[in-house]
Amino acid sequence: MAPEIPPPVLKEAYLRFDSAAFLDFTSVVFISGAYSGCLYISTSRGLLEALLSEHHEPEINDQTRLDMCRELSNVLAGNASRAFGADWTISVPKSLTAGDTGSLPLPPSTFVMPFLWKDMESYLVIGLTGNAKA
Amino acid sequence: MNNSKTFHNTWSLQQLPVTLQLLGNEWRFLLCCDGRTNIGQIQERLDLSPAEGELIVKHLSSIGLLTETSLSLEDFARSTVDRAQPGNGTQTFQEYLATAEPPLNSSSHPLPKEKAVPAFSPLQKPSQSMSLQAVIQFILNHNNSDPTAGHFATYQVFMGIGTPLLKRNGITSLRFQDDRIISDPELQNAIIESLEKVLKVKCTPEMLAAAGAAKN
Repeated sequence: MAPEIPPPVLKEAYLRFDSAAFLDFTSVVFISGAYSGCLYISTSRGLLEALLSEHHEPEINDQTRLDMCRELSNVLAGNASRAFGADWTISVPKSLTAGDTGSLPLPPSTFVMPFLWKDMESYLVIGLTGNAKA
Repeated sequence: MNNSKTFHNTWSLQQLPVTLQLLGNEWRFLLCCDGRTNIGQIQERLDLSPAEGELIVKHLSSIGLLTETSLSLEDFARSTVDRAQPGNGTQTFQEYLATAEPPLNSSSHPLPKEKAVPAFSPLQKPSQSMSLQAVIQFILNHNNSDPTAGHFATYQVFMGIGTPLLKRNGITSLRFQDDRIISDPELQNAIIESLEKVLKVKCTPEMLAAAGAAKN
C-alpha cells in the first residue's frame, strides 16, 4: 500500500507592503473585476521535484519543473474562476522562473498565505489594487 | 561655528515628549530651524550673540532635536532671500549671492524683529495614539463569523493606504496578532478613512485608541 501523501498545511497569513515574496518558480494569473491584480503560487525547486516524484515523473530537470509549475497555474486559474465568479476576468495562467518575476506588474500591497508541504514552504499570494469599480 | 549652516527639527512638534524641558531661547531657536534659515539669520532674528547661538545649537544637536540640513544651490539661494540687498541694477546669480552673504558684523543689517520671530507656543499634547491591534480587532470583529473574511477585509483596508505612508511609519509587513502604536496623524487618518470605506461603518479615533497612550 502506497504511503499516504501528507496534506499541505496553511500557516499564518500576513500582509506585505514592500517587495513581493517569490521562490524559485511562480505560477500567476491576473484578475480584474471589483479589484485588479494577480494571484500567484510561488514554490521552491524542491517542492516541484517532490510533486514530480509523486507523479512518478522519471526525469527531473528545469523543463519538467516548469511543466509542473504550469500544472499548478492551471489549478490556480480554475480555482480563481470558481471563487471569483463571472464578474471577474481571469487571465491565461503564466509560469515563471525566479529570473522572470522582476518584470511582473505587482501591486504594492500583498496578502501572503505561506503553506508547508513535506516541510517545504510555498506562498499563495493575492496582490490587488482598488480600481474605479471598488 | 559656520553661521551659514542650516538645521531642521529632527522630530515634529507632535512627536516631542511633553516632558521635554528647554530654555526659552532654545525653544525659540528650535522653532526657527526650518531647514532653510541659516544659523546666522536665526541668531540675528532672536538677537542672540554668536556664542549664545553656538551654545544652543550644540545643546539641541546633542539631545537629537536638530539635524543639519544639506542644501541644494536653489535652497541656499532661497535661504539668502531676506539678506539680499534690493538694487535697481541687474545682477548675475553670483553677484546676487555675494550681496546675500551674511555680513561680517551681524548688526550691520538688523532685521525688524517682528518680521520673522515665530510666536512661541507651548508644545501641544500629542494627538491620541492608535493601536494597530485595535484596528485589526475592529475589522475582525466586524466579520465576526468568518475569520478568513476578516483577514481579507484587513487586507482591503490596508490596500487602501499608500505603502509609502506605511513604510514611513516602519510598517513593511503586518501579521494579524501584531501590535504597534501609531502616532502619525496622517497614517491614523488614512486608516480611519480606508476602514470606513471598506467596512462602511463610522469609526472614531477613540475606538482605535491605544490602551494607555504613554506606550509611545
